[in-house]
Amino acid sequence: MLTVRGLYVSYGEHPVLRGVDLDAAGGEVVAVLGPNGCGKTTLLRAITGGVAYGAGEITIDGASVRGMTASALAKRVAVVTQGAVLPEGFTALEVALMGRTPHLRLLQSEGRRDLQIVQAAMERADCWQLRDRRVEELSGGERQRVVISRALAQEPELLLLDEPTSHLDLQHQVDTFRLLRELCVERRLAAVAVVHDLTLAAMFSDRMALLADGRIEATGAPVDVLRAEIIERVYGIAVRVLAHPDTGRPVVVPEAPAVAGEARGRRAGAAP
Amino acid sequence: MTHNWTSRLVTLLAAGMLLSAACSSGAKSNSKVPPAFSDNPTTISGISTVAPYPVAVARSDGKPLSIAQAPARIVSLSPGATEIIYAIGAEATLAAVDKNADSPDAAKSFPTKVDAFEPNIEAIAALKPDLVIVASDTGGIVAKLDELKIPVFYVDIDKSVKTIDDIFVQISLLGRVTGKTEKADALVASLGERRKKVELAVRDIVDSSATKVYHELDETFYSASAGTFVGDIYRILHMKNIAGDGGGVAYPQLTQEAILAANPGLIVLADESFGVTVDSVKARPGWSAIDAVKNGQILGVDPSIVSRPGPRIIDALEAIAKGAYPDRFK
Amino acid sequence: MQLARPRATALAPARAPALMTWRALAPTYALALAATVAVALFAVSWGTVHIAPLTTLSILIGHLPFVSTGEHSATTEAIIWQVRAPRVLLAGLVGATLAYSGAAYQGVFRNPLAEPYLIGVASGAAVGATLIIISPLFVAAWIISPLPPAAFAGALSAVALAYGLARTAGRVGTASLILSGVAVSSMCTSLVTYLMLTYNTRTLAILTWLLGGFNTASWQKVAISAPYMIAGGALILPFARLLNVMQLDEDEARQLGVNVERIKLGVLGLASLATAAAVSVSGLIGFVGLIVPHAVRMIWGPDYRRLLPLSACFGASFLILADVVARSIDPGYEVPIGVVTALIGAPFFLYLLRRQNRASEGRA
Repeated sequence: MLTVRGLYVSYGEHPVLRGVDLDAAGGEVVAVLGPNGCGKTTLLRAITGGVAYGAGEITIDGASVRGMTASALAKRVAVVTQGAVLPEGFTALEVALMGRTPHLRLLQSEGRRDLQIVQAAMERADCWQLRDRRVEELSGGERQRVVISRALAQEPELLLLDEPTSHLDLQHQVDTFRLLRELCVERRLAAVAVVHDLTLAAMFSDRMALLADGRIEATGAPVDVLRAEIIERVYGIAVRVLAHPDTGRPVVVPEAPAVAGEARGRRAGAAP
Repeated sequence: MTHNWTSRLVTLLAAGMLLSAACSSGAKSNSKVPPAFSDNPTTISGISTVAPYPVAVARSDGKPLSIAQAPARIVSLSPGATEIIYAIGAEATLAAVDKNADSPDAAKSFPTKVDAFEPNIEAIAALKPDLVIVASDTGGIVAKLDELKIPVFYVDIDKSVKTIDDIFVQISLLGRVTGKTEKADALVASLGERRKKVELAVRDIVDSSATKVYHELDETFYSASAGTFVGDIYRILHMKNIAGDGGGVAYPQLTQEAILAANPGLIVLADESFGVTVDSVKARPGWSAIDAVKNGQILGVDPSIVSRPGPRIIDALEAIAKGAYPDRFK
Repeated sequence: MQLARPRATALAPARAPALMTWRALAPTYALALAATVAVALFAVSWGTVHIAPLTTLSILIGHLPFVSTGEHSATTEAIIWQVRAPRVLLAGLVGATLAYSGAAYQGVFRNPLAEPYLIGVASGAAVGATLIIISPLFVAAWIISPLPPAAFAGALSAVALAYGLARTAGRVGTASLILSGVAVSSMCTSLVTYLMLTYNTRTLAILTWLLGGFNTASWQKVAISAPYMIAGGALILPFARLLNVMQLDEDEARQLGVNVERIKLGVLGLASLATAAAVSVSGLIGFVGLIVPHAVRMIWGPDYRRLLPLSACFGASFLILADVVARSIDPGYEVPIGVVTALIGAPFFLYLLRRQNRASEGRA
């Protein structure tokens, strides 16, 4: 579905991504992890055409992203970011309907079919009952569901999510990722999600890619990527990797320091 | 941007006051003239029974001014006062005139000029004047001159010079101030004579058959109200000024609708220097319905004679009288 | 629970959500237009000279082709057809233009303080007008006054300059555009002030032009400016739905397939062109471009498919009525219209603001 090969991106003189490869197939959730500043967001932006890239190939379903118009791209890729700013005064339905934009011509208004698609998306994301509420009145979790339904309304093949739950409470985090998984399976979507919480990512992703310093350090199933030595090398913090009692998936916990304030091998500037 | 509007309005208000000054000049008429002074401009008062100095002058801001001897270095920020000074032969006392002075020619080519619109106190003080004539208090110039203890002859046109008689009073006053009383009185007398001639020629015009007149100051329909020296001209000519009392404003802006409805029989243009001509007035849409346009009764008058409180106001009076009533002034 | 917002949509069933199709909006558009026309007709029959409404109507209708309605006095005819009618029409067009341009600017900049004079239209026009007023060109009596074209050219030059300065690598950030617009406006304003004080025999003429008004409105002015003002509105309206989408983050709008740069350029260009034409024939009337869109938004919501046309109608009615006050409140004399718009508009806006605050307090 999504294929990224040898992607190089630099901001001016400063290289951010140095030859990144990534794959995501329909029906699977791929989590992209890594410390701050390693280029995760840049990777997503390159896929959506938000940032220019020097060398590399990005294809969606075989078609190269480079040549695509924004409109064509928007019909295939939908983005969900964290804490999206929603304009005041619009209702949840009106915002979700904006997801139909790539499918409408200039003078065309949303029609009945568009409404059906959006309604289905909102019902699936469990926010249809919020449809007449103004978005500024909604809670963080509710807004995120509206944004997800907007993304679904685009009828994409690929979903990109940039830390979609970092600002939400635990329940909403779990709900969001569960929904994501279900959608991917139901609609054969490919999803690439940048996540901070390693354990949460392990719980819901099929594969993971660990990004560090502009390069992929490790890729594969969660249990293969989330190993103590890899995490320590990349994040500079000592951890213990346990197995979830029910699923067997990795659960990552930081090691307790022997003495308070003592940190072994802490990499300068990196935060866990 | 909204905050630009506050400053623009303030500028407008300030400039509105400036306009009155720019249109006219500053000589002050006041009611506190020494009793020995005759109010009747037509008598020849060559002999004064009081000592020529000191001359007491009441300024427009109420502060007193006492002139102890004939000034030798006058800075005139008022084109009207400049004209008067030349007319009474006191030009030797001028140290500087304002930029806009254009009459007589000697004033136009006067070597030293100062800006009356944005007066520069240092430039004025550097000329070491012993009297500064101010027509309008822009930029707080009067207070600054007071601080430097420079005598200021401050006369605000709108407040103090509202009739032709007021202009005569200014001429006499400036005559006393400069010690040129004889010439001033003679000038007032001769101007008074000319006015009398005009009054006689129109004395039989009855109010009921009074011609309605529209005096135009600029092409956005600014006019002069009856309470100005311009308005006084029309009073003398037994004409009805459609600007009326100006709604309390000396130089109001009239609505086009009001002008059409008033249907003046005479239009006097004081704005030909702004491109308004008799033909352009005739071509204004809808104006062909006005009597003045239908009958070709549109006069152009040189703004510098009709918009300035000086001796040439009588020239304006005569020009308008002859233009309006050619048969009476063969 | 649902907090219903007062809407002026046509009769839609309470449960099923109403889609904002052009057909659904048509009744709203028609109603707004009819209200505006009613206001205009009222304004033409109102003035310091009392003219019976029937006479007014008969004179107006008499000017339709192939229609004749008999004789009227030349003065009445002149007042209605040559003075009031073009004045009301011009006030309406200018009010509409300032309002829809204000809405467009607020949409592109996503800033509630944006208004059509933001990036230099007003100050540029002032430079153009001032240069003509102080020049010998002003002295010649031309058939077509050089003043409006000069103001128009000045306005467009200033906007082009602001845009050019803000452009980097093919993109124009809204923040940069605001900054460059402020810079250009300041330069222009200083120039005008300097010229105004230097050529002080023209100061009143310049100030009168700046302050704006419709006292010198004529069919000629309508003819030269109406095409821009009407075309501007007609060409921006199709972008209404996309303007809604642009209220999201610019990145998000781009990710929804919207060509953000082109829309910014197109909408700002059209709005600036129309505003330049409005300003060139009516001077710099403030308040309308900023306040009317907010008032409309507070009453009818933020969707641009309603905001644009309703702002236009509201702005037109507002300025027509303000002009009625300007020419009638002191009979025979003209009151500066900028003062009227501020005095009417400010209290009304405060009322709307308080209503909004009370509503949001109830929500919190």
